[in-house]
Amino acid sequence: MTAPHPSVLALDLAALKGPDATLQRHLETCASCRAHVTAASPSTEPVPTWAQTAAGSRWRLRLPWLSAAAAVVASLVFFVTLRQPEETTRSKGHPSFALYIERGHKVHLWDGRSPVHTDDRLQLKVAAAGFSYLVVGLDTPQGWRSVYEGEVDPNAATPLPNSWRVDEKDPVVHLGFLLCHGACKPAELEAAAVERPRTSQRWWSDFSLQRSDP
Amino acid sequence: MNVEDSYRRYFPLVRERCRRLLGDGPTAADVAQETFVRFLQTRVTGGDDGVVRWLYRCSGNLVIDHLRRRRTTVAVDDLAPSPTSSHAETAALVRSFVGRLAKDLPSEVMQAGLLIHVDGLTQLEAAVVLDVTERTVRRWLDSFGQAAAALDEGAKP
Ligand SMILES: [Zn+2]
Repeated sequence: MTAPHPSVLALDLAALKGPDATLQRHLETCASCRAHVTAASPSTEPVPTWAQTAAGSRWRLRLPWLSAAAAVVASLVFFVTLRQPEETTRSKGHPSFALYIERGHKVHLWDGRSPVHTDDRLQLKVAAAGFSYLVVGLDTPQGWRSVYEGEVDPNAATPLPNSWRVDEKDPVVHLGFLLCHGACKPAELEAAAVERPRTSQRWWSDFSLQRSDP
Repeated sequence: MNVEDSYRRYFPLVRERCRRLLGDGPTAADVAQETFVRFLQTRVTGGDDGVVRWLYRCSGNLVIDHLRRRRTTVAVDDLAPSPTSSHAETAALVRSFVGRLAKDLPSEVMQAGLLIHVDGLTQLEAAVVLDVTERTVRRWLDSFGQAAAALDEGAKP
C-alpha cells in the first residue's frame, strides 16, 4: 500500500522549492505525482510575445462592449442583502447591494438567480456601511470596464443614478462593485475581481446574471 | 523578477491547473494565458507561497467566469481531477454538473468545490488559498455538495 498522494498544491510548491524528505520519498515511488512535479516545474521555454506585451502595459486598453445607456429607473421598493458569505456577515454593518430589474413598466428585486431578458434595465442600490466611494465594473471579454463611479452615502442606502440595459448580445451580465474610502480608480477593478478584498479599506462584491429570453 | 523569470517559474503550474479544470483544449490555454497576464499586471507578494495561492485564486475565478458564460451547462469530460482527489463520488458529480454549479453557486463556494474536489486540496490548504477559516470552507463545501447532489437527484429519470 503506497502512502496517500500529497495535494497538487504541495506538489506545485515542491516543483518550485524542492520537495522535503517525506515528499521526496513519495515521489520516488509514485509516477503520477512525479509527472505532476515535472509538468509544474520551472521551464526554460522561450517567453511568448503575449507575456512580453502584457508585462509592458500595466493595464490593457478597455473597449466598449455592452451598451450601457443611462436612464433613471422607477421607484425602488425592496431592499435585501444578496449572497454574503459567512466571513462577511459575522459582524453587523457590512455593505450590501440590491439589484432591481425594470421589465416593461414593472420593477422587481432580483432574486439572485432568475435570468434577465433583453432590454431589461438593471438598477442598483447600495448600502455602503461606512464606505464612501463606489466603482461599478462590467466584466467584458477585454477585461473589467468601469460603467459607473462616484461617491455614495456611507450611512444610508443609495440608489445609483444610472441603469444598464441588457443587450441581446450578452449571454451573461457580470457586474462587479468596489467600495472604498476617497476615490478608488477604475483600474483597480481588475485586481479587485481577482483578490476579492473584504477589508475595512476595500470591499468587493459581484453579481452574475444569465440572459435568457422568453 | 523580470518577465522571463516569472514566466518560466510560474507559468507551467498555471497551465497545468487550467488543464486540470478545463481539459487539454484551447479554452484551458486561454484561461492560463489570461491568468498569467493578470499576474504580470498585479503586484503579488508573499514569495512562492503567496504567488501560488494568488494564481490558484485567479485561475479559479477565471475558470468559473468561463463556465458561467458558456451556453451549455453540462460538461462531462472537461474536468480532469487530480489523482490526489479523495472525493471520488462528489468529483464525479462535479464533472457532470460543473457548468450548472458555476451558474448556480456563488464564486467562493465554487472555488472551494474546485480546490477540494478537483485539485484534491485539504480543507486547511483550501482555507489558506482562499484566505478564510476552515470552518468557512466546510460551510461552502456543504453548500457545494448539496447543490451537486440536488442536480444529480434532478437528473435521475
Ligand atoms: Zn502520489
